[in-house]
Amino acid sequence: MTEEFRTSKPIYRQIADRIIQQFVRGKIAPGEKLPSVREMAIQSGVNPNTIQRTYGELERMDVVETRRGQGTFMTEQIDRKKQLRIEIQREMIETFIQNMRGIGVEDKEITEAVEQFLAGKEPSEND
Amino acid sequence: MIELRNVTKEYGKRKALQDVSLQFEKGKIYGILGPNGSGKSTMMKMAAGLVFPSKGEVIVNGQPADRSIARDVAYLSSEGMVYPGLTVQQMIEFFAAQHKDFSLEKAEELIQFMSLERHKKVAKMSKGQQGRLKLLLVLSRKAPVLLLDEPFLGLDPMVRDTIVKGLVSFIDFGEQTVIITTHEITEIEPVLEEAVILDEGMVRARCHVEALREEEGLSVLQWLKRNYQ
Amino acid sequence: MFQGLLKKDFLLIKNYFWLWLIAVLAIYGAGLMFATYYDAFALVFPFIFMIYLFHLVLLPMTEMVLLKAEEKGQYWLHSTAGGMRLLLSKLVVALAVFLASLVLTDVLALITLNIANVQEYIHIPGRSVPYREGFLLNGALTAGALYFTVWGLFLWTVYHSLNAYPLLKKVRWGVVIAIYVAFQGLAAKMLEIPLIEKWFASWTVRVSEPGTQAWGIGAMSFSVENGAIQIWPIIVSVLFHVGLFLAAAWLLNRKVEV
Repeated sequence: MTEEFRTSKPIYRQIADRIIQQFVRGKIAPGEKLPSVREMAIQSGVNPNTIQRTYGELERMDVVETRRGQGTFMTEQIDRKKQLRIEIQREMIETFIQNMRGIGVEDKEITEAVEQFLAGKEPSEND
Repeated sequence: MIELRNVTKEYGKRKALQDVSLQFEKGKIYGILGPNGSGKSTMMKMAAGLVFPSKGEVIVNGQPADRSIARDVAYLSSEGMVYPGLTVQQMIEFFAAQHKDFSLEKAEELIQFMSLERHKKVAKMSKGQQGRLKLLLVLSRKAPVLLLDEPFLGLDPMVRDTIVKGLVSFIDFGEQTVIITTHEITEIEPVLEEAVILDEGMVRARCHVEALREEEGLSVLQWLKRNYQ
Repeated sequence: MFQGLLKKDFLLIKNYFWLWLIAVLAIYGAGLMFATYYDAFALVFPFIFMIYLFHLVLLPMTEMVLLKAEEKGQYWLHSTAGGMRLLLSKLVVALAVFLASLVLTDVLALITLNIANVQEYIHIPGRSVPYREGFLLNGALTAGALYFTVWGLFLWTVYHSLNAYPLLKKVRWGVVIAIYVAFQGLAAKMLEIPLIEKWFASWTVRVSEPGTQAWGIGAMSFSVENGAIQIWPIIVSVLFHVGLFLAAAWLLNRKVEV
């Protein structure tokens, strides 16, 4: 099935995010060749122009590299991968913290809750 | 390129289109949205040379659209188009004989892609299969303009998905101008570049699909709903 | 392109075509059985005449079936072929069906006549098969059938041209009939003009000896008035119907909307 897209972000960005995620998770190896624009468009059920933009964006971010006549390749720089991992981490933490604050949890409580969670304990009522 | 210049179509007192001016650029994919009776089909039939404007003009590739425009326009109609007594193969042969730009190679690929049975009669095919056959007949043409009038009508989500994939796989992007009218926006939205809302024969709104998400955080469906509030 | 149209139109009518040929044989078979039952071979002839007469309807009917197949969506108009070729293809295919059926009927008639002649069941002047009258019958049937067919084509396009005018759309059957009646009335009036009458009578061709032209049995006979045919009315009629066909093609191109 064609993938669903969220409405809040342009589709080209969402596909770029997905490629970065797959790269960080190791589903796409460094230096691996990405599908052609047409193939990727068919896989995702989107307009090829959108994929063109996705690849352009990724190239600008130094995540992929387009070699003339050969196609688009994932970056081979391990440092870049590490950076991306940190960036994604930051984004996730940011969302998490915002959500926690949104329901009125104080920062101190958040760290405690995270520590407890990691230690395998149930969150306790601390009021 | 397709251009409607102040086009009005009257059926007696009823106006199917009222002073519509629109331009469709070469190589882009457009969606025409709107409720039944909004004038979508009338507009498509005009661009296909099947209906003539009461006022104004419809220009396709620099030529006023009349019957001979079928040379440049491949038109998928929501009704008719395939003959119940003919088989898939016979329909393909008929289209190949009628249109110089019909590619039998493409048709062969599309038979596979659409998983159609060559010797099955149209009358014995399901609605989904007929819809796929119609798309095959249109996509096999290397025509500069493709007009798809309600290609999803009465088809289930799986078939709609196949059709969207078929479009992405077989359209010559940047070369062929494609206009699609539809009620079922969800599947087709990621393929569209621009969308136009028609309502009671008038252009109500127009947008760039990606810009809409970027600037307003809306999908075309949400935008459509907002326009009707 | 035209070949493709012909093939498509033949495919549209193919099943009806075989059915009809079988029906012809069945009617003939029924006639044979009827004749055998009453022990009067000549009773086969009314059946053959019936089949012949059906041909007047067969051609326009075939034409209508072919046109009907296009009515849904009128997608056939989305074509570079143009009204002329679209309609001509229909006409040619319908005519082919018609002629095939007529030839089959002729064969049946010839077989029957030969049997009857030898057995002296019926009276044929000079004891020979009336080939000349047979050709005339075929010609007259073809002409008659073509007349209805070309009118049918023209009126069908008129009918569908009225689609775009909601006021007339409700009464379009009336309009179609009115047009036909008006044309017939006009033609009748023109035939009363002495000048035209004289002109028509000025060129006749004798096709059989006066007095010997009738053949068959009882009321079921075929004859040529005074053994002569006027040529001018034929030419005028042919030209008129070609004009009607062209008018239909023009309407189909310019006025029929989907």
